Amino acid sequence: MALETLLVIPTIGHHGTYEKNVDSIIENGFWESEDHNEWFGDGVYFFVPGLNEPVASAKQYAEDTRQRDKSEEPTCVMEATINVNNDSFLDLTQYDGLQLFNSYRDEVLAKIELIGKKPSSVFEDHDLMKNMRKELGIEFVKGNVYIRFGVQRIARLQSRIPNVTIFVVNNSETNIEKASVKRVA
Amino acid sequence: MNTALLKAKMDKFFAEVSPEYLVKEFEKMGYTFIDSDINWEPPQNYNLITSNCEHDDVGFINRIFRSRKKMNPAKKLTSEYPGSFFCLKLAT
Repeated sequence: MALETLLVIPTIGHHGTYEKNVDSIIENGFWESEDHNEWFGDGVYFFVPGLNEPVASAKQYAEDTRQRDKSEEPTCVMEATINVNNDSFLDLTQYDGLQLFNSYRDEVLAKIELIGKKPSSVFEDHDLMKNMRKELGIEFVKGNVYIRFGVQRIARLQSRIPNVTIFVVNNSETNIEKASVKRVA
Repeated sequence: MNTALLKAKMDKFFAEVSPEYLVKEFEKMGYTFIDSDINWEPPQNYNLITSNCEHDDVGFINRIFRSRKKMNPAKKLTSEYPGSFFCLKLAT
């Protein structure tokens, strides 16, 4: 397509995990999450520069996971370089990206209405995102979200104002530079 | 982000995709679909030429609102169903 730029922008991301996973990640790559409730659909999630300090957030996230798992395993932070293909990148930290996502949602609902149907429950963002990524070939998504870390949970803080910037990538074997993967904290 | 490219892909996708395909895709994710009101039409002999809006009439106007939210309800109702504007005012 003539609109393609073929521009690749390396982006450094940080991922919190258990220490016991380090060797496997370095050797075999990251495990792509497929949980139903992921923010932006399936893939490997990283903290990236934006609203937060990525290493600290990744560490905090890993520690929270450890506490939820009631595990004694030590945690750590992995760093990786993601080769972001600009043509398959949706940036929800920008107005353009948010407008595209909102248009996609409106178009899906309008299309379904054409046959006299509507969803019986609320369309969740992560499911719409999953569908949008599949249909438009989006492999990278960046966005600002609110994550309730341990501190916020203890204080019972809930908010609609984002506090971290996250990044998800799929086809991680191709899109993450294997030699760049290392433990940093 | 290549906004122009993503927008072009999106336009192409929605120009070609069928509603049935989208329904199937979301059903795979666990969603169910129900009939919407889009094709709902008032009975032929429905008469709203009154300013004494009954409870049922308000429900009627609300259904119009929900099913035709992309139209200007005031224009739609006043052009097709003369006299209903009083009901519309009451319903809003």
